[in-house]
Amino acid sequence: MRLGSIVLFKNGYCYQSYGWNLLRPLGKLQNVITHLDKYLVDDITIIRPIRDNDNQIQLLSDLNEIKNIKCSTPISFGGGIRNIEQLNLLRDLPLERLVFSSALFNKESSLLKTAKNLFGKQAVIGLIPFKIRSKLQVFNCQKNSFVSSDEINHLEIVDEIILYDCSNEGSQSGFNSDIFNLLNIDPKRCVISGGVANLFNSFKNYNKTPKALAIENSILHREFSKSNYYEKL
Amino acid sequence: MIGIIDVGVGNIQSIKNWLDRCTVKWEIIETSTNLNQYSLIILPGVGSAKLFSDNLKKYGLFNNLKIANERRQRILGICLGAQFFLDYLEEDNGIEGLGLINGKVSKLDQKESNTGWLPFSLNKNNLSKEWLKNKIINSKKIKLKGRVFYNHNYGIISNDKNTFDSKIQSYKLSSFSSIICKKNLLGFQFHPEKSQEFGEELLKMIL
Amino acid sequence: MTYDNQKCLGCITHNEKYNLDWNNRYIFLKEEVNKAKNKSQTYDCVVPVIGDAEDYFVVQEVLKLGMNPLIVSVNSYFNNDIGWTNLHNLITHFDVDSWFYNPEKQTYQELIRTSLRKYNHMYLPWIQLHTSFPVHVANEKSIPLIVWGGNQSVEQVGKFSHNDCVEMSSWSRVEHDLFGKDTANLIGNGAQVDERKLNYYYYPNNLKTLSRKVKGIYLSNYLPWDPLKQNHSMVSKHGFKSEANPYSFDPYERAGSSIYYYIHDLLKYQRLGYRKISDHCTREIRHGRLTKKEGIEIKNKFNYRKVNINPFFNWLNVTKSGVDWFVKHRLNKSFDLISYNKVDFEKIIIPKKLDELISDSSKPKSEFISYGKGIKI
Repeated sequence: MRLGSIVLFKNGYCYQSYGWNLLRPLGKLQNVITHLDKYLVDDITIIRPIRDNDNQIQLLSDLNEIKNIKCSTPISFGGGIRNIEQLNLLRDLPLERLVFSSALFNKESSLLKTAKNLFGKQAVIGLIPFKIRSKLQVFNCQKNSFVSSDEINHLEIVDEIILYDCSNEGSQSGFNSDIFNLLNIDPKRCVISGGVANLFNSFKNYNKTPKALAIENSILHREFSKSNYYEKL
Repeated sequence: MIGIIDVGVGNIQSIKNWLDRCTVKWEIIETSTNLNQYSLIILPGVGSAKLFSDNLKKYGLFNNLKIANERRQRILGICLGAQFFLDYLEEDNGIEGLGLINGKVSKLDQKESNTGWLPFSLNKNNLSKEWLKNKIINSKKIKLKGRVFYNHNYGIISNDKNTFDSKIQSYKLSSFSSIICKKNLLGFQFHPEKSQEFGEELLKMIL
Repeated sequence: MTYDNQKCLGCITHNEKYNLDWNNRYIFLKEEVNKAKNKSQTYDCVVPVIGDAEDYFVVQEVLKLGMNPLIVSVNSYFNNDIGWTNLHNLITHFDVDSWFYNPEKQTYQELIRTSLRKYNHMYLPWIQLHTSFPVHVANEKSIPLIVWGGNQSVEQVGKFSHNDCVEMSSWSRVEHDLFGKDTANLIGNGAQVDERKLNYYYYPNNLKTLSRKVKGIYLSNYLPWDPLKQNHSMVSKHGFKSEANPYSFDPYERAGSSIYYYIHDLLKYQRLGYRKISDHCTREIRHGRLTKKEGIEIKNKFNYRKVNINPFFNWLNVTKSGVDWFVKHRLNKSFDLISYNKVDFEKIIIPKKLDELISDSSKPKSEFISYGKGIKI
C-alpha cells in the first residue's frame, strides 16, 4: 500500500484543511515539496481546492509555480482543470498523473478521454470528496455543493479513485470505510484520504486494502519517517 | 550532449529535472533533426501508445530512431519509450513498435495498473559492453539495490536471446521485464526520474 | 494572519485550550518522557535556552518530570548584563549540565550584514543557529528528546491546531523560524565567508536517521500555555531577573537582549507593519486580561516609541555613511521611529488584571556584552 501526501495549493500558497471548513496556512510550495521529497513519501498529490468558479489568471500563475518545482517523487496534480484547453496547459510540467473531480459529474467524457490519450490511462485519477451522515453525499466542486452519489459518472475511464472523507479531514483517524460499499468500488482501485494518518496498520490486516493512503496536513507536522510510521502503528 | 525526444505527448519536465540534478547537458528533439550529434537519446514515453506512435511518425522520428539504432547510438527508453523498442504493442488495438528488440508488449495480468514502488537491483556488468563503453559519467558503483516507481498498464515480454532482461520483482508481474538491455539499447519499464535518490544513483551508473 | 468568518486563526486556536483534556495530555507527555528515558544513555533531553523566563519554566517542568537535561545555548553576542545574569543563574540555580556555543564572531557578523542587506532582518543568523545547534548536539550525542517551550506558530497565529500536536521538524524550521531563508540563501553571492565555519548554521542533513534518533517536542502542546503567568512565577520561584521594557509591558519575554525590542523590533515593523507590542496585546486579549479596546489603547501608546539604532550599528562596525544609507533605503517606513541617542520613556499605566502579573524590573547597566563571566552567588 502506497503512503503518500496530499498538498492543497491555491493562489501561490499551500494550505491545510480541517473538516472541509477551516483552512490554515501551510507554507511555500517548493519548501513543502522539498521536504516531502526528503521524507521519501511514495507520492505527492497537489490539489487546487477550487470550489465554484476558478480564475484563469490564478490558474496560470499556480501552474507556473508548479512548473518550477524541483522534485524526484511522483507528483499528481488536479483542481480546476475543467476543459481541454486547460488540459493542454499541463504539458511541460513535472507531473506524472492528473486528478479530476468536477469532470466526474459531467454528462460527457471528452475531457477525461482526452487526458487518457495525452497522458495515458494510468495517469488519470478521479477524486470524490464525500461525507456520510444519514446518507452518502459527494461534493461537486464546480457547483460548490454536496450532491447525491448518483450524479457520479465515468469511473471506468479513470485508473484510480481518491476517496476523500470531508468530515474527518485533518484528524488522525476516522476515515469512514463504508464508502467502499456505498459506492460499490473495489478498494484496490482507491486512494483514501481524510482521517487516515493513523490507519495504516488497520488496513494492512483488512482484506480490502486500498491501493494507497494519501495523508492530508500531518506529514509535515513532525520529522516524518515512513519506517517510524510503520513501527508506531 | 543528450537528446530528449518530445513529440507532444505527456510530460518530460521530470526527465529534464532528473538530468539537471546530475548536471548533464541536454537538448529537446522535437522533429526529424540529425540525431547523429547525440551521445545518448532518451525516449520517454507517457500517454497512449497510438498517439505516441502517430506523433513519432508525424515528426519523422520513427524511422530516424531506427537509423540511430543501426548507427549503434545509445538510446534509453523509459516506460512507453522502452515498450516501443519491441515489435508490437497490444495497446489501442495493436500498434507497430520500432522492432529493435524481439518481443511484444501485453496487457498486465491484473485489472488495475501497476502504480507504485517495487524493489529493483542492477549489476552494472549485466549491461552490454556497447552501452558501457560510451559512458558520460564515471560512476564507481557496480551494484545498486533499492526501489523504483512504476506506472503502467502494459508490460514488456521479450523473446530476444541477445538481451539482458530482468523481471519485475512482483509475484503477479514476474513475466514482464523491468529492465531490458540489448547492445546500444537500454529500456526501463519504471520511471527512474521519479525514483528519488535511487533514481539519481541509477542515472549516474548508466549514463 | 488568516481569518475564518472574521475570527482570526490565532483566536480560534487559542479557544481550543478551554476544551482540551490537559490531564490526558500530561499523560502523553509523560509517555514521551519515559520513551526518552528508556532510550537515553547519557542525558534524557536537550533544552535549548536563551536565558529568558520561558527557559526557566521549561527547565522547571523538565526537572519535575524527572529528566536529566543538557542545557544548550548559542551566544548571540546581544546579551546585556541582565541576560548574562539570568543565563548563569539558570544553570546554577537549577544545577544542570550546560553546553555553550560561541560562533566565530567575524563570520557571524558578516552573515548579519548580508541578512540585513538581503532581507532587512538582523536576527536570522542567530535563529539559524538557535534552531540547529541543539539538534546537532542531540544527534551527535544520541540524546533522544529536545524540549522546546511554546510553539510560536500555534500560540501566536494558530497555524496549527493543538490537536495536531506539532513537533520540531526541518520543514517548520525553514518555513516558520527562518521565513524560508536558510543559510544557503545568505552565502554564494551574499556573505563572503568560509563555508567550513557554517556547520552549525545548517540543520543536520541525515533526516532519515535523525527522525529515528531525535524528536523535538513543544511543552505548549501538553500544558495549558499562559506565558505571562508562567514567566511571572519564575521571578519569585527561581530568581529570574525581569527587565524594564520601554517597548512593551512584558518584562519577561526576551529579557536581557540588547536588540530584541530595539533594532529587531524596528525591522519587524518595517517588514510587517507591526511591533512586538501587538503580539503581546493580542496574547493578553486572548487570555482575558485585556479587553480589545484596552489592547488597542496600550498598543498605540507603545507603538510610536523611538528606537536608538546606534548601539547595534556600532556593534556591527557599520560606518556613519553606511547607517545613513540603510536608514534612507531600508527603513523608509520607520523614519519616525528612529533615534540616534538614548531615549527615556515614562511608565505606561496598564489595567490591574495585567499589572498584577508584572514584577518590578531593573534596567540594564551595559549592553552587547560578548561574554558574561560569572555571577555573585
